[in-house]
Amino acid sequence: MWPKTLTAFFGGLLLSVSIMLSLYLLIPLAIGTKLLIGLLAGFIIWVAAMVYYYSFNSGKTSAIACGKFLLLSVGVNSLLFWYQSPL
Amino acid sequence: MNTQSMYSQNNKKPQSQWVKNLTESHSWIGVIISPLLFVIFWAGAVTLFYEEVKQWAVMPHYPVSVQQTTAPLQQIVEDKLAQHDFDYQEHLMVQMPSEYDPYYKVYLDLVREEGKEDEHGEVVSLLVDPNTGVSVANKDDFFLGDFLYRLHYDLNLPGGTYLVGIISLFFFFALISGVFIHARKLFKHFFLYRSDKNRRDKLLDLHNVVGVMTLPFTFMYALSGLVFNLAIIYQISFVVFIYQGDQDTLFKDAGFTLFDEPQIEQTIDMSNAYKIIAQTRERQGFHLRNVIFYNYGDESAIIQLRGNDLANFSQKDEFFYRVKTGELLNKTDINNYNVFRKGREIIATLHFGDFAGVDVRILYFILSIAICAMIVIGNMLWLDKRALQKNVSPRSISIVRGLTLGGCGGLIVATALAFLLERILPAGLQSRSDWLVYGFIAGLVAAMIMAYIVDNKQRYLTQLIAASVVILSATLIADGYLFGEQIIQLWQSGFKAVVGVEIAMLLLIIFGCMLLKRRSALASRTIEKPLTTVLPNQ
Repeated sequence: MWPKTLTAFFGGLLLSVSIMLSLYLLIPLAIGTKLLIGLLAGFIIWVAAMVYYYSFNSGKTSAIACGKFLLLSVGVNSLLFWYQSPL
Repeated sequence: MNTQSMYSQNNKKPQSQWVKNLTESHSWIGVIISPLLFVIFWAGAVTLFYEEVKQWAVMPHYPVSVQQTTAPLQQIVEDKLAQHDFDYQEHLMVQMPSEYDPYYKVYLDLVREEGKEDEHGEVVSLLVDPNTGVSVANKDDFFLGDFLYRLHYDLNLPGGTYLVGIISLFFFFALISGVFIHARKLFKHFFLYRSDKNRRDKLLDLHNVVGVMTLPFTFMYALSGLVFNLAIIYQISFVVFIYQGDQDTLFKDAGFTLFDEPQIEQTIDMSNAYKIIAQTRERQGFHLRNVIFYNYGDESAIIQLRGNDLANFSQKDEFFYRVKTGELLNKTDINNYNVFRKGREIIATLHFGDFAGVDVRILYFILSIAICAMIVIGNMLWLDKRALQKNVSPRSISIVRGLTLGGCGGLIVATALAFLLERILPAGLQSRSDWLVYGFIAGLVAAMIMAYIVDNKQRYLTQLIAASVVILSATLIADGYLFGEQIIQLWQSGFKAVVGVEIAMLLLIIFGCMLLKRRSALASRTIEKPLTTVLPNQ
């Protein structure tokens, strides 16, 4: 259970930060609104990712699934940062 | 919400592997976080009545007459500045009297010692009689309310804020995984409680019913707890990736106004500040909560006024004025607010339940206690299951049982003891707040040790309930003996919270006596007709 917990906690955190930053860059709303959505969505994504990672049979399969999602999300983020300025 | 036994008994549809994995994680994480989660919910439930507990602790010592005229605020502040070595580079805060709390509270940052200029200096927090302007006590001397509040949000530990945040995160996970585990029967078995079934099914039903019925409430608490305690993670991410290290701009975008003007070092009369404060206090539908002075006595002085808009839900207004000219520098009100800040304030209002009368907070209290019960029942389910498994070490079962009984039950006894100490310790006692904390810790540790020493867990539970009833009764007797006259006078003056806290204690005593009576009847029946298992491995 400990390997799954480490994946769920840190993998979920990194994924939530990555998706939250993408949301910030994609949502065409006022900055205050984007910050609020980012904060609330960040925690919800983190917990959703934890539920997903804990649903695997072993820490290894959980870590592989986590890695795939992270790579995809970081890729999207890199493209967004490449094409538009954050502020 | 462990549903494995229900599925295995009913044997209708096989449980999918991912639900089994989630069930296992739900139980494992639930047992690990349960002692601290219980502390957070228990302390939070009592903290819902923070203002009432503060009033109960302080006011009988220093009753205030509402008929008398109040001393001018300027005189109060300038007297305190003359009496203390205030650091004029820092800000000065005054918390204004309210219907709950008639005292002014003045917070002063003192000049830092030589060689410690970079550290945060000592802050004195004075409780000031509004009639005479005299400092009656240090605010922290009456520590019970703040101690329980801090226990709720940081466990009174360094770095405890983050620990509570992490517990909230895993609690959030337990909620969502519980929904998935219980999803098939969420609506069908919404109110199911099978009183005719065995002990395990009864406990499971109770855990599920409380879990489902409190779900919107627990969802709000988990998310708001995370926003308060772990928002720093996303704050850092925004600063690093979006704001390129510029934290001040992030704060500005989030609606937090910062004034950091250097002093001009030319003195001015501050009377204009007090005129502005007096005008603001008279504003219709607005309650001024506190005033913060920046660069006090300097030409660059600014005052920040914060209060509640009583006509709109969760609307906290804020005004900044330049003292010299009376110019309004910045304002936040219903027509001019930042969405992020307003959203955070709404989350805080929902979390503290202070958007309506005391009835809403009583409802919050009942829900919080139900969640405390759900936590304990979850652990009992885990213990029951492990007791039946052959490859589980008796030591791990003993540790969890001791923590569940001693930690959770002991916390209730320790809280009762802290109330008694808050009442009987003399107001002028040196390090009064420390004595209260020592008493609380001693009560908790003693209860936990006893949990491992006493073999008969049923008898131990009865002893815990009896101890809580005796301590609360002693508190009520001390209230009447030491401050009977003052409490009646306060009631007549309209400060009803002191009696309110006493009524709450009386109700808890009655409830405790009823539990003791029921347990005594159960015990006598058990002697007549012995049961093999009341608690596993007893």
